[in-house]
Amino acid sequence: MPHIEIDGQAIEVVAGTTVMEAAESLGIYIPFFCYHPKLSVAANCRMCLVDVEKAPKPLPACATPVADGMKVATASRKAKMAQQGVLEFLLINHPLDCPICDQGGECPLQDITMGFANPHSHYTEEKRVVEDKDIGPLIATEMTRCIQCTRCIRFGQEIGGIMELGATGRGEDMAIGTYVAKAVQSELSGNMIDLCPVGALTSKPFRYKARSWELKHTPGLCPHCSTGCNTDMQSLGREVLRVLPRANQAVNEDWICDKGRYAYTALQAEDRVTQPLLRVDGGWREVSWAEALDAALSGLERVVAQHGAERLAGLISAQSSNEELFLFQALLRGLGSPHVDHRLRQQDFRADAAMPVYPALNMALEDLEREPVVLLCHAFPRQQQPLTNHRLRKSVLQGGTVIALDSQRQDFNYPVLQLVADAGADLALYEALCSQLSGAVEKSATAGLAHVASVLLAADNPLILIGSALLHHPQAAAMIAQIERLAELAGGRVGWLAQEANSAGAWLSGCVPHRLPGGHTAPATGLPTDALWDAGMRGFILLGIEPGVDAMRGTAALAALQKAEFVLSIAQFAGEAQQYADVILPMAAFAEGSGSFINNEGRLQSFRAAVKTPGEARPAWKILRVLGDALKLPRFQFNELSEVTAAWQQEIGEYALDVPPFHAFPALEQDSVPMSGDGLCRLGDWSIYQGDPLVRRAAPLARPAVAKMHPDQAKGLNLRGDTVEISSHSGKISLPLVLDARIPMGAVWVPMGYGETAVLGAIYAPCTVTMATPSAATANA
Amino acid sequence: MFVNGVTLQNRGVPDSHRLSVYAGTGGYAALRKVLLDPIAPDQIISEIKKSALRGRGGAGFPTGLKWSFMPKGVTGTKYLLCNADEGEPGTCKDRDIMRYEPHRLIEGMIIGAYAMGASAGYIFIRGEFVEPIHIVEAALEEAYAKDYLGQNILGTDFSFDLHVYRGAGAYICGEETALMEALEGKKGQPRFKPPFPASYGLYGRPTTINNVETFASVPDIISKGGDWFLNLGKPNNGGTKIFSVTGHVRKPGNYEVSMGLPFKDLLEMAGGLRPGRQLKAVIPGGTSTAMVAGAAMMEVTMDYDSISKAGSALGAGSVIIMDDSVCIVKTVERISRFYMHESCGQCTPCREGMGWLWRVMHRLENGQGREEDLQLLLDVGSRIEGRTICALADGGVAPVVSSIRLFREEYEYHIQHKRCLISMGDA
Repeated sequence: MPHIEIDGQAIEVVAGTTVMEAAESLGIYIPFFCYHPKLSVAANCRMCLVDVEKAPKPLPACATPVADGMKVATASRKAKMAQQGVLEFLLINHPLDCPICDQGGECPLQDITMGFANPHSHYTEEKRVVEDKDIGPLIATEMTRCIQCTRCIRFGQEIGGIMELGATGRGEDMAIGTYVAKAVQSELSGNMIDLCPVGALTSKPFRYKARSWELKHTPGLCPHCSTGCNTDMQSLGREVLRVLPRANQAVNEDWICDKGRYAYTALQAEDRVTQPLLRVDGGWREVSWAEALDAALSGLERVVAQHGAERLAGLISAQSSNEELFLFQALLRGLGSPHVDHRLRQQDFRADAAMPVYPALNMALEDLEREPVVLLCHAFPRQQQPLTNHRLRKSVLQGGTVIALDSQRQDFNYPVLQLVADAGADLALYEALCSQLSGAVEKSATAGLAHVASVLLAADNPLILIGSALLHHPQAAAMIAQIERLAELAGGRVGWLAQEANSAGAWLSGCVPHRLPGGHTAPATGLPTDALWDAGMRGFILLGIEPGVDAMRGTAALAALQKAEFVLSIAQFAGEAQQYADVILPMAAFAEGSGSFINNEGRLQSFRAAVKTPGEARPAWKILRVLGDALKLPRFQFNELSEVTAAWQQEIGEYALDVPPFHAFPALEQDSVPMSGDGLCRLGDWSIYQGDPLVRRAAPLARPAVAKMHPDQAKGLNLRGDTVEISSHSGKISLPLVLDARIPMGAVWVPMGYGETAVLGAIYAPCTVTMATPSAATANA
Repeated sequence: MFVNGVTLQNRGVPDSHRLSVYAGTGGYAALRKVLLDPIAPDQIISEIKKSALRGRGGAGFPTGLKWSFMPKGVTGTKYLLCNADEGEPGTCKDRDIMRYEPHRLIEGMIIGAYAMGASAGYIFIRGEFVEPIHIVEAALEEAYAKDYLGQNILGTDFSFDLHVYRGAGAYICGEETALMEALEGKKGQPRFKPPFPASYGLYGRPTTINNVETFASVPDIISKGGDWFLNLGKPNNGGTKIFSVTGHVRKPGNYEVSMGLPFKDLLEMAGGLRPGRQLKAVIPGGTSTAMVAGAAMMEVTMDYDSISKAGSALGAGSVIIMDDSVCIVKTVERISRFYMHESCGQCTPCREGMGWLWRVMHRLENGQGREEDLQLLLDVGSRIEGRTICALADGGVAPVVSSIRLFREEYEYHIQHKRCLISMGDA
């Protein structure tokens, strides 16, 4: 291993180390702009020029590999002259508008200028001005400040996987932009703001809201998917102003996705509830907590007394903390109701007994990037778990293979072998792959299927990941059974890609109708969510959800809730709850409460409140505690969150990080055929920015709902024009139509999670598509 | 003295660009000898080394040594590239080789590919060279038809495909790694070295790149021997070299002469100066090389070592002659604008510094110079030189710094009198 010396300090490093890395390990700081440990070396800013003995010219530390016996001086006259020279060049065309620049106070250019520049500039000529650009609602640009370090460009190519920003022009006319004016689309785009070493790219929603040094930093956790990204929540007074990644190399590395970065903008949404609300004579009245709690308790007691506890059901968001989930199920079960669930999007529950203790990845996220062969079963992690997807992307870039089975071709940001089911025939695809693997078919299968089978058979212990979208299928149980078989035939192992930030916690804490905390079998099995809508429930307790758009059959959910005698909604937002609730209790939203989540790996992580709850809103665990206590239920006498955490931990016991992916399968009853009748199969999933009440309200992330269809299908149906009418057995809507060859023939894709699309009901059901009548088109517009 | 004897030896022969004419003067005999005799690849490289052929693109790196860097025994494609992006102001030699002797270039490349085990090659031609592009493309078709290119050339195991790539008009794409980026379809920007092209070149594969004139020298070296070529010039400076003589001479043009020819002889060949004019300054290797005062130039011989001793470089052999009617400040101002315009913008000192130099030069030329400007130009130059990824910036600094050193009084006159010392009306 080469021995080198930097500023007189000797160090031995592995061959191939750069001078920059060696200096870093010695704690010697060399200034830089374009260098970033997660990006390729560009060596274009020239800020890190250092003096290497025997080299005639100063060399860039970031790109110079060490050689045995090398002696480096980072602060010799030669190095300093080079660094000062480069800084002067960087500043001659920089506007120096720090007082009005959001980067001020956290700007490497500012800091390095203070630390390394010659205070006098010799430049007296005119400065360059760059025409500004609009690259969408997330990133504000001020390209005159750009120092052309190309970090944003390299991020797009190397991390984001889609090159959206590039450099055009030569010399001092070189400018960063989108080439063809458009909004940046990458789900990781906000990271380019963090990477930008100057104020050229700043956060648009944050613009002019605060100076960086005024902000309070609180370590947080992202509540928007099962990766469990660590965040740095930055607030001023009672307001969250910014969410940035908090580096954790084992989880999110240095990144977060745009969903986690910008969802906070919804905290001040118009329908945020900050005061308990009571329905009085068909209208809503703001009331005191005492009055609201009285109404809630009497409402619940009335339902139980008149109809029995089995007519009461509780549904909770899997973005709730372990503590909240634990108290929620204790409240329901304490009242005598077995109906507790968090799985609003599932249609087929026949495999409930076979489900694992919790949906576990069964491996470390970090290890995903070293998996040689991964089979994704109805999983599109780019949308569902963007930073888990980044690990898979790395595995592919290093030569791994990712295979995806799905209802449609997906827009991965790396090469993926994709097999798409015939519209609605998803189960058949899994059966066909199993047959192929078992050798039951000879050469009859399609080339794609045969190829995938050969890749799986050749692989040593391939990883099979079950995506959350698989559970949305009406034949999910049968598909899971096929996957169990498939794993056996391919000699692979199975992991689950959980949907929500705390799906794992929801299962472990007992928020499923058939299991208690710790995964113990419940003495009385309740009904799963989807069955509740048709079961004549008289009372509901909802926590943090909006079943009208969060449930698979939104319209049926709304009908059931409206028909119920008493609905208690513990919510951040009143918009939907006002359609059916009797009492709305305002709860803490993201960044306002403390607690813990279990991520997809089984990693237990905790977070604490960054800001006070607005108005009279309270953390949900406190609301549940008060309700349980007032109802005189046992074990609700907690004063501190830590006591709830301790009780929860005691109840669930030690949980394994590696759990059997399936329990024994019950014999599945005959499958119902999902597609019946004429028409197209309606595909769909919750879009990336529509998945929960908070992100749905984040204005900068909002994207209008559109229907998608294969161009040939549209041609076959003689659909011309931009707007179509889509009808299912439960309703009719009109939407703009986008032609997309990724959608299979015989299907139309309509997203879930939008109020306007909920009337169509469940996905994989038949529907018809026609040209919108002019009146319908205008009504929709 | 040996004139037009190697790379332009058929210039003037009717239809010299046709394969039949080339073959009639012994063309492709070297290739036949190499493939059919056959000559071992290592032997070819040692013959090139013996010839002391040095890169004719400007850097003057020994060609045989460069060829020997190509890794042996690697699997996969190795590339051979020809740099025909000839963009250096004052240079037009490669254009004439492609116009008159395209087959000499092609034959040289095929021999090179055989010596280095390359299976694919590209000739990257400056986009403005419309006529040469058509001629080289037609020549490639002829070579394919005669089985000199393609699969199993002349029935041997050796296969080589050669294509023309038309550049899109950037000076920087004449820099070898920027050329590779452009060939890959990216923005033409130089790469940081190391790694060098021999290990990580086009598409990350081992690659060798040479200038047109370098390749065109190869067939005669093979058929007549390395010693023959070396003896055309002088030790360490073998062979002949084309000089594109431009500026204030009566017969500007491309002159292929023996290395080591005294400059004054070259000047005479080019018709000499106009009557009554004095030689003021010469840029011996293209605008990116330092200016040399006229008197000093008259003592120089035209080879790498002698010109380097005079404080400049032979470069690509573009000799720009300036007589006493020239305003140095105006000339350098124009050259500076070129380098500002052609900087790729990738690295800081060049992107920002080239524009700074030009802006100061522009003020000086337009009567707005200040006392401190000359020191400023020298300071800015010293902050650029040696701190960039490629040599473009050094080339942009050289004319400014060298001209201030040689003609300081002319600059000072501009500053003090707000006008030019030389009245251009004299010209």
